[in-house]
Amino acid sequence: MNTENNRPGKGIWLAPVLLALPFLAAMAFAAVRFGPTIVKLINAAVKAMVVV
Amino acid sequence: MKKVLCWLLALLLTGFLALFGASFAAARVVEPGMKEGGTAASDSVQQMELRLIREKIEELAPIYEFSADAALNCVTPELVAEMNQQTALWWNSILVNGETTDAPSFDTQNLVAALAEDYAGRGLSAENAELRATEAANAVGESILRIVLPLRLPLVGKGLTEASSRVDLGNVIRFLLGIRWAALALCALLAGLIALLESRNLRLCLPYIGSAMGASVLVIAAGCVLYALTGVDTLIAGASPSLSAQYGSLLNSAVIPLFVYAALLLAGCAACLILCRRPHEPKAD
Repeated sequence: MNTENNRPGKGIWLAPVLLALPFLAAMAFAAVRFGPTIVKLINAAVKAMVVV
Repeated sequence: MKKVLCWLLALLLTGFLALFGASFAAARVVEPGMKEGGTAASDSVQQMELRLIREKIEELAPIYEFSADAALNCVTPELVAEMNQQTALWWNSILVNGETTDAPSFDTQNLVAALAEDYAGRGLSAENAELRATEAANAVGESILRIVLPLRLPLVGKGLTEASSRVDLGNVIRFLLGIRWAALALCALLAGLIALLESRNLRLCLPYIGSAMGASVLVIAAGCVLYALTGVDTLIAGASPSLSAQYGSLLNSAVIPLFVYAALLLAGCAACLILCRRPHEPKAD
């Protein structure tokens, strides 16, 4: 197999960003959609559990 | 078609590499507490607790009208270490068996004797001095417990009893700790599948594996940013300074390995992507 012809170009450096994009999008969606609820839950849990 | 399949496998590899990093960091937090006898808080945390206890005693002294020095003499670093060991055993029982043992307790005997002597020196009768010393020692003991383990123990116990009636908590925790090895095995499997698809030519696999490594660093970094945005540290610090110190110490034990893991992945990504772009030198026969 001629590997010389399969050498990736400079664009390969963008591949990690493109691969991470679906995960980053999912995380951003989850943060926007569920973030405030999660923060409220953590806040309530801390207030309920911790002796001030 | 082969390339599309390889990139899909690289996408999965990204997810499992990030999952391994996250579960590895979580295990670093939980595992020390599961050792036999548990792991007590670090020396710096214990010193902070001792400082907070001393401040609390100085605060209580004018309220209960005792000499702060008399109580401070009874609160030694050894006492704080013993209280932390009790707390470590309490956590150990939750993590290993999913149930609470006896809550940490403070033996007020020495403190009562010291305070009774102090009250007697202020002209109180022996009976009255004993009574007031017991009252003050209980308040000091409660404050010490609140600093070493600032949780509502009955609430935690009730929650654990409720949860234990539904699931075996000890097994669930052990299962969650095993996730990292499953994720690592899947990473190896996916890298192997990419190699098989690329006719076992390592050079052709490098772009996929290297990209997945780089992408997982980005995912881990995004996870860290999201965690910082939740402001859990600030919430805990606002609720209890001693719990914040204990939590910070636990978090530090996870952050450093996670940082090292991310640095290794980044180095692996750079190495793979540089190597795959190097001109191929045919072997001289």
